[in-house]
Amino acid sequence: MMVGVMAKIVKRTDTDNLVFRAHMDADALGELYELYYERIFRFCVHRLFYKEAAEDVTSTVFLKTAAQIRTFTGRTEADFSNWLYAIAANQANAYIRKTSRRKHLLEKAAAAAVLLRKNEAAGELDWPTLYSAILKLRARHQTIIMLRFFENLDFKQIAKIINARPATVRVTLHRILRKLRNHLQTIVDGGI
Amino acid sequence: MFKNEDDFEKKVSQLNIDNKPNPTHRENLRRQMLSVFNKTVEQPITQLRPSWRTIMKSPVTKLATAAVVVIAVMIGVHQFKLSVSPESAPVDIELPKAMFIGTPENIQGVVNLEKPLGRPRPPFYAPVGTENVASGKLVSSSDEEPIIGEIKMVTDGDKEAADGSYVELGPLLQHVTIDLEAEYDIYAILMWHYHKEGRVYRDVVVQVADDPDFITNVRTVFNNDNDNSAGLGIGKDMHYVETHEGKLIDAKGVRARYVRLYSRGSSSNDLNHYIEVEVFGKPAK
Repeated sequence: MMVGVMAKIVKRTDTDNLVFRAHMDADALGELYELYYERIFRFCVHRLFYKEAAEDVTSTVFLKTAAQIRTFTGRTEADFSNWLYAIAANQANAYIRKTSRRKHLLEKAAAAAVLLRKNEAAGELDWPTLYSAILKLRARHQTIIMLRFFENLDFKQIAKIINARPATVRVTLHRILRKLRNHLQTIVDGGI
Repeated sequence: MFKNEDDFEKKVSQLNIDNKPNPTHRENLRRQMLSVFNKTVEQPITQLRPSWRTIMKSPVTKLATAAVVVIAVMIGVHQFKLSVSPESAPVDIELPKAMFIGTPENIQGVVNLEKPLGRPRPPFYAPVGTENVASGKLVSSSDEEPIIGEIKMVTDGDKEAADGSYVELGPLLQHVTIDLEAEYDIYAILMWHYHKEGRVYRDVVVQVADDPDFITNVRTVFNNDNDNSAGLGIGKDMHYVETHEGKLIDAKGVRARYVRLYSRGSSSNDLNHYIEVEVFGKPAK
């Protein structure tokens, strides 16, 4: 039991050191990249629905990270993770903000939903329908939903990423879910 | 559908989402990223020499700079004497508790940023009898359903940055409009967006008008939207860092009934906040 606890502490310190070294050391940054690439890519797929867009935004996130890591003031892995998610959230929001792209995403999701409904049992919540409903929320609210339910982050981490208080995130999430339920109902009732 | 948070969490975990990355993209991006990183490592963090050192190196530029400073000070003193007429008095401004001290962290990339004064703001002189005429007045907003707080908080007299003292409006360009209920000669507008941390609000535009829809006799008293992204014209005013002193705008006695304040998010996030707005004026005669 004791060994397990010690091992956990050592592991965390190692990653913290990696973050510290990544300010000047390409190998350390490469290791961090390997640790975080999948998480950030996954986050982008959830935010942007299709892989091509997710790849574009993931690229922007890591290129920005490489360009700015020297001025990054965080010291721990948690700081780095929050910073990376904050960049990813902002980049994804910037991508979606453009009306034509947003329309394109909605069309893609709608087409996928129609296809799914033909093949799967009715009544079950499917990803394209849920995505269409999520896309109707405010960009900040979309980020909160993704971080909480798709990335499984706790309120404290989400609060740090979106620069809010944990209690605010908790209350906001409650309201978002209510709105999301209404959007879903509208979509299911009247189609996307 | 879903019943509650736990149910939603369960349903999300059951979704079938293809989020497997492409190994080629992963490899290419790694290469590109390290190339960008290596380029930044080759550059020194501060590439530019301080211009002050350049000036001090040459005796000619040194003397010229000294002369410019002396002339500027003399003009400033002269202007100050002119502006402080016997009928003027310092406006009584009550400041909230300072919540943020130090250097702001998130304001990289903000262009045309005002340097902090480094000392308390000097008193603002206005005709005797000038007072805050916005206190408790009706406020409307482009975002009728604020995320946090209520719109009436803008003129409730609470200027503290603590939770429960501010209203949070949605993203993109948002505005609040104060109805002063009568025409006033406005000498200053003092606003606090959010001073719990040193942040910079974007596209801050302050206008006054004779009608609530801002169609008649609209005049802009402050505008730091330097690329006209708000569509209200290019502004030449500077961006500024939020502090407990608020931002004081010299309205130069403009006569109006309605005051409108725009913003488009901040250096910290894309939401818009207002703690308090004060409008210092006298009833129009």
